[in-house]
Amino acid sequence: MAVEDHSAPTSFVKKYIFSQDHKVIGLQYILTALFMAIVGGWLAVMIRTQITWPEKAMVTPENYLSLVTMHGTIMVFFVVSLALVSGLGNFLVPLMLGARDMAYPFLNMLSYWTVVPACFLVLVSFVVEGGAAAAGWTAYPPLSALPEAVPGSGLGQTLWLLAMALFIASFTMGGLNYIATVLNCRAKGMSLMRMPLTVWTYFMSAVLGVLSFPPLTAAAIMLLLDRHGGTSFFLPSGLVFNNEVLAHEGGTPLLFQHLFWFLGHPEVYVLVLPGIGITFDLIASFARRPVFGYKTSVYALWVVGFLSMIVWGHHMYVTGMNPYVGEYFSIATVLITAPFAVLGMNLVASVWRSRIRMEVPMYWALGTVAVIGLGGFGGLFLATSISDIYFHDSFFVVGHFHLMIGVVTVLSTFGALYHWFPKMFGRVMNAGLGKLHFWLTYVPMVALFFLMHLQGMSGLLRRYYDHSIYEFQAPGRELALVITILTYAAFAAQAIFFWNFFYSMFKGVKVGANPWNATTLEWTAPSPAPHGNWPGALPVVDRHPYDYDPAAEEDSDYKPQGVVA
Amino acid sequence: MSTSAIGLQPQAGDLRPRAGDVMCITFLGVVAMLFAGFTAAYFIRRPSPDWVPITIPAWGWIGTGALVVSSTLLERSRRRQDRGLLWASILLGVLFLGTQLLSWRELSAAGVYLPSTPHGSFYFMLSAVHGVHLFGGLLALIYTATRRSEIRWVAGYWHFMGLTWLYTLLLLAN
Ligand code: HEM
Repeated sequence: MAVEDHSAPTSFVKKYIFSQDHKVIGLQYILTALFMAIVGGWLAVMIRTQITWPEKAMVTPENYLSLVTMHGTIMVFFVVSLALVSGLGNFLVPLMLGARDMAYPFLNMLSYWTVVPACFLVLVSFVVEGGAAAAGWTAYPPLSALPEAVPGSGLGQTLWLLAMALFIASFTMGGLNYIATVLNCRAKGMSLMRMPLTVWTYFMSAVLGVLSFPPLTAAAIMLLLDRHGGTSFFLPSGLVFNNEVLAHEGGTPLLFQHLFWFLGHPEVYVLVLPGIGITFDLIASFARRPVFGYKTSVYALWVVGFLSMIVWGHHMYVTGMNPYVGEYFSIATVLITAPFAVLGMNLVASVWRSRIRMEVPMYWALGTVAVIGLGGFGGLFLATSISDIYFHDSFFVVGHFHLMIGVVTVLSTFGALYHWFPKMFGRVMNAGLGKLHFWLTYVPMVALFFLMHLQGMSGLLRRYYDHSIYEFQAPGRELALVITILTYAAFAAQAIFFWNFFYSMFKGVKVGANPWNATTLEWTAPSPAPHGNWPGALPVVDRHPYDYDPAAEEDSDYKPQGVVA
Repeated sequence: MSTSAIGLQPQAGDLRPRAGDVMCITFLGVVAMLFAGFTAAYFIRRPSPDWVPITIPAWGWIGTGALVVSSTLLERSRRRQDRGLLWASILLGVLFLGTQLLSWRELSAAGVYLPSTPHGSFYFMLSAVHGVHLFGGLLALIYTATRRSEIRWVAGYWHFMGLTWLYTLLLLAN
């Protein structure tokens, strides 16, 4: 059997640093992501400050582009990917499947320690000559392909590419491990159609990641060769630089965009799907009912996954593509709303007329459901090529994608952290502070990104360091101050979370194995779960994951999915 | 904790695939998607006017032959449990990498360097990317030969790398 075995660690280093235990690795990812979130959030604060008071010229135009680029890169790849996908996924998948660990614990450790140097390179790139990369998180050539283009195109962009290479390697290792774990390490009786939806979404997310990152790797290799090998994969003829015509000829920047978005779009689903899966599980635990339409949700996930891989062109409507191709991408994109509506309706129907217990995780779960609806609605306007031609590159787009990959993911991550905190540390986080944190995060974040839609409608464009020099952008600037104040509020509110998280880790109220009376397998393990997750035999699964009985007495209205012999 | 205590050993009547199989096939999927990305790039880049075709170096074809023989020997060594054949297969893999270097020499002797023409750029790049992946397979084969560990997945990867090279060469040649 290839699957590796590892015994309980004895030394401090093996236990907490070079650990192969999925729970420790999951926490390492989460803590790394929380740290990167402070950096990424601080960049958002700087971005907002600059565009609200451009006359103060806090940063130079080039530096502004670096801020935006690094904010996007850090948030997508080093916060949400690490916390939600790699972190919570590592912690939850084996526990929910009734496995002792991931299929390949050593590979798991390797994947975490590959992403650490990537984070380091990202941070270092701020202080190298020329500053951090400035070509956007999408790294479009020629800005990213010509080291001499802008200051950030030099060493900063090279470091960006190296960091991304390490990230992709790490994420691929993680994806392979999830797939092998789900197919291979399920407890006895845990058939695929009995897996909690959280696990299903992690599985889908891993499949999408594994299939869509390699073409981006191909693009990155070609970009490196264009930068350092003199090739012209992406560089067109006739580029003039410093009054000199560059030697490159015949390349096409659009090729890069296609390869980038072939990853970029599925990546959105890599991030959002686990958020949706987690929301299903939280809702089942606090609505005290089996989730509505489990099977249709699983099928919808597959359809979403498939469609997500063939719609990338909707990011490129304005590139002069053939209108028929644009029409195809429009139709395919709008088609996604069908399975997505199934997921959304199933979420709503799961709470409908249930005996809701408003515990802290449920606030975040319900908030997530609302934002899925709001964000999805904006997506319709961008999916339609005709309206997108107007909205493209405006703050409408910024507002829309933040609602989906920013707010949905962040809300569900917080919900998950409050929910599974007891499983991690055997204690609960303070509920009052949790609710305060919710309202002070939810209201400003949803409001500010909603207002950005309005800014975009009035014509305010993204990636501009100073909108005030263009008269046509004046109407959109009116909301800038409000949005910035909301940003400060949302950023400051995270202090409540950090205090609650670290304080409760040591001083929180101690609870038993199953504080929420939930059904999935992880709650049959002790809190905190020991090495190997179950001290004795593994649980044996004999029912579907959400066996709640709405008619029964409180406290006896649930049956765990498996029994531990 | 032994492997069976960890609960990963398949029990009797268990229909789940072996973890190694899942891992191997998924990883082959990753590599396939990487080359699919390059293939797309190749077809999009080719129609542009600066595309000057190159002649595929003869060493490229000779190397392909080395890989075919190597894969055949590898299968034989598996069937006969013959480690001598395994080492012969490894040696042919090393030879293949040698022929790749020779094919680069052949191209540069003809005046084709990495930036000269996009067709040439693709040849250098794809042979290098493939070479790196094949080198990984070579290390795995050597590990298997010395540690006498299970060869099933390494062999699968090795054959796949052979096929990938054949595919790449046909792509570049047409
Ligand atoms: C309160 C939180 C946040 C605020 C206020 C914020 C603000 C902004 C603003 C104003 C921009 C656009 C700047 C411009 O185009 O000139 C931006 C870009 C971006 N943000 Fe955020 N952001 C936040 C959180 C997040 C999160 C959680 C993500 C996670 C995925 C994220 C991902 C991105 C991306 C991908 C870009 C595009 C970067 C680019 O144009 O290359 N942001 N953010």
